[in-house]
Amino acid sequence: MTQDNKKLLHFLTKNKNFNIKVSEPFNKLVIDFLNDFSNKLRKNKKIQLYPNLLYLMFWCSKKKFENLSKNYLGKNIKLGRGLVFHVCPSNVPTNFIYSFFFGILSGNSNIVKIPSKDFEEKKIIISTINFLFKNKKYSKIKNSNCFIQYKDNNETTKKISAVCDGRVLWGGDQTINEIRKFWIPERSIEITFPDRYSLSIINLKELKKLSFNEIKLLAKKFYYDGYSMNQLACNSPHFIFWIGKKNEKLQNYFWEEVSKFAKKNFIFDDIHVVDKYSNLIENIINQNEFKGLKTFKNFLYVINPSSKTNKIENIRGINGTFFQKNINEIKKLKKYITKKCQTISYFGFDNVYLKTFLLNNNLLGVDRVVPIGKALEIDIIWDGYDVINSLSRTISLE
Amino acid sequence: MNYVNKLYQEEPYSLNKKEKSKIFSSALAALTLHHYKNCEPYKKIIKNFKFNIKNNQKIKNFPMIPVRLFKKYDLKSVPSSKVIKKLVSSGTTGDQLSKIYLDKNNAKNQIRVLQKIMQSLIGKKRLPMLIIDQDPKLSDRSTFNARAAAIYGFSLFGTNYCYLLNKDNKIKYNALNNFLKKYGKNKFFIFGFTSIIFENLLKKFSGKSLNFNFKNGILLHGGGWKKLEKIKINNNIFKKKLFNKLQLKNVYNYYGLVEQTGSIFIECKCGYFSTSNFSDILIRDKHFNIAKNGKRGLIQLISLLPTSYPGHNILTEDIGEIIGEDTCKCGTKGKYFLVHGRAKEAEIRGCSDAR
Repeated sequence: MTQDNKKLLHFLTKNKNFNIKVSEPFNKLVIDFLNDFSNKLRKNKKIQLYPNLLYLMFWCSKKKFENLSKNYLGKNIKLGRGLVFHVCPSNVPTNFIYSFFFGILSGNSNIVKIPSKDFEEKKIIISTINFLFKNKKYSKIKNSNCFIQYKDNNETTKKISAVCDGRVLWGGDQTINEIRKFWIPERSIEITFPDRYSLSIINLKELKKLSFNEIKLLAKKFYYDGYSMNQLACNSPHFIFWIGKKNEKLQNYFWEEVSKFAKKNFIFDDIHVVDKYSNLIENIINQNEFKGLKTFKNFLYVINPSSKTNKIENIRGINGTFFQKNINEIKKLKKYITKKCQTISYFGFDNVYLKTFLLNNNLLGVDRVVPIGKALEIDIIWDGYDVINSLSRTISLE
Repeated sequence: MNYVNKLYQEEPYSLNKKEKSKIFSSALAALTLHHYKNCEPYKKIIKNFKFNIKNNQKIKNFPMIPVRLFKKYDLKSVPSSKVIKKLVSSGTTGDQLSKIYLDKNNAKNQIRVLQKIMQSLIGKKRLPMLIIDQDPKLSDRSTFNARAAAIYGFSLFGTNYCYLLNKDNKIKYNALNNFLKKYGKNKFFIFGFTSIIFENLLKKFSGKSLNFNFKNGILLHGGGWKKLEKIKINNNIFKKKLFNKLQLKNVYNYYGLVEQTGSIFIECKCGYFSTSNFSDILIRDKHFNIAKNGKRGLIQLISLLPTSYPGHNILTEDIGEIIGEDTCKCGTKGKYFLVHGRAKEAEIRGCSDAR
């Protein structure tokens, strides 16, 4: 690192002790840090109001990472790559902290551009981190990592890009393309998490075997996946494929239950309704005539699109608007899966069956296949990357 | 549409509930059918809702169009060759703007109806007019569109124009004193945007430089309270301040959308907005049920004017409440209501747009 670059980093991080440090992935200090982060969050009463913070709290548990580390650390030596620059979306309140954790867990120093919007979750996270940074034990982490906030300042993005060893980009396609114009050094790697599309599949044959209470539970899980992020996350489902012999009664029963959960749990502000109705009308204008449109008040809209509808990645709902289609076998799903497809959440299929489908259909999309209810969970295997392996170097030693 | 012509013969606030619902039910059916036949996207909406266009429908059952649609699509119910004017909404930079396409007939009706409504405020004669703004001719038109359009629109009711502000937004005290000296003894008309009036007549304005008063002025202002709400200025305080500072007592707020230009809602003597014979308002709860009077909800606006674009029945993003119908103490017939600003913006979450 040249003297100039060092100065630049001190300036940008506002920390004259800032130094790039690398370590082995799942370093004990980092695991302790995450665990203390989790404990500190747990003590904050406010997090009860934020399911995403509760989830984050559990996500950081020590045990999980101690177990995970066993899969990663074998006979080869692994080390972080150096300085990782994370550009996180301004409209997802907790995304930046996962990106940061990916960075430190894989043994890197990090500069994390955090959302400009003042989400309450963001404030809680940052104050928790600052609290831990005061602890002498974590001064090494403090002096090799930095959270930075600035508005669309291309100069800053350009400067940090030019000195980073890895860049992690989250955001809409346009944003990512714009940031990608900024040069990163030859050896630097880049991981992009652009806009994606997600869908659900339900095996009707298996659904039929469920008791009403079990269907209710499935509907609850689906509600959680679909509504939690206002249906705006890239892993929120928009389309649901019913696979097997059509069973309208059962399907309607499922939707009925989803709408009940929405009624009980979703906070409908006036603007949510406006957004939802506007989105519905836009879908009407943009598409061929629907075969069916069922509204459960404004809690839930279910649309049977025209049978001519093939390209589904641009068909999106908001605040609980879902499109549905019946297909008789999973093979028919193939034509709907494009590169943009990220998560398939499923019910009623076993792993062997899904594996066969995924391996044998020449698929260019789909990076996650998870049971319904887990669509929003974030994992260190994300968007097709093993993030730990991607952000670290493997040194061969014979 | 004949309804506008017919109603044009009447006083603008004459219809009672029963008369109005009868006329509006058939007028809306006719308008809905007209747009259905002439605007392809609109037709899709009606078809997807399986709405049956026939007479004697309840007004609340006609499908409404979300106002955002005019920002995202070019909606026309006439061939492009017939379009003579394009109205563009106001909006902060970066916002998408509404685009409203007018043909000759629609443009004419907007002016006629606005005239009708304005007559009840200022009388049949044009009045000397003080504009609390700069002359749009001096400004960069591209950033000034909506304001300029409103100024030009209301200029129809004025004469001997005086613009209060110069190009650098400085108050022209000399011009103002000359104007008041010449015309201040009789009725005169003042027009401006609420926030600009506050900024200039109430904040910046120095009473010392004023040799005359505003006693005979009739002030009409609109454009929303967003900026003033932040500093806790509401309509009552606004009026009080204007009276205390300038002896201006005739102050009327108006509410209207660029999507329904012409059929605007002017504050009555009692401080409420009133629907005219050409417009109606419904308040919807979060499930689009009709809210009871006195309950807040989303404002739906109906206007008989839009024929060259499908803007006759719109769901706005504003929150309001209806106080009553036909019973306002000032004697005005129609619904009288309050507007409580924009629906609170949601925190937009998601992955599809970063930065």
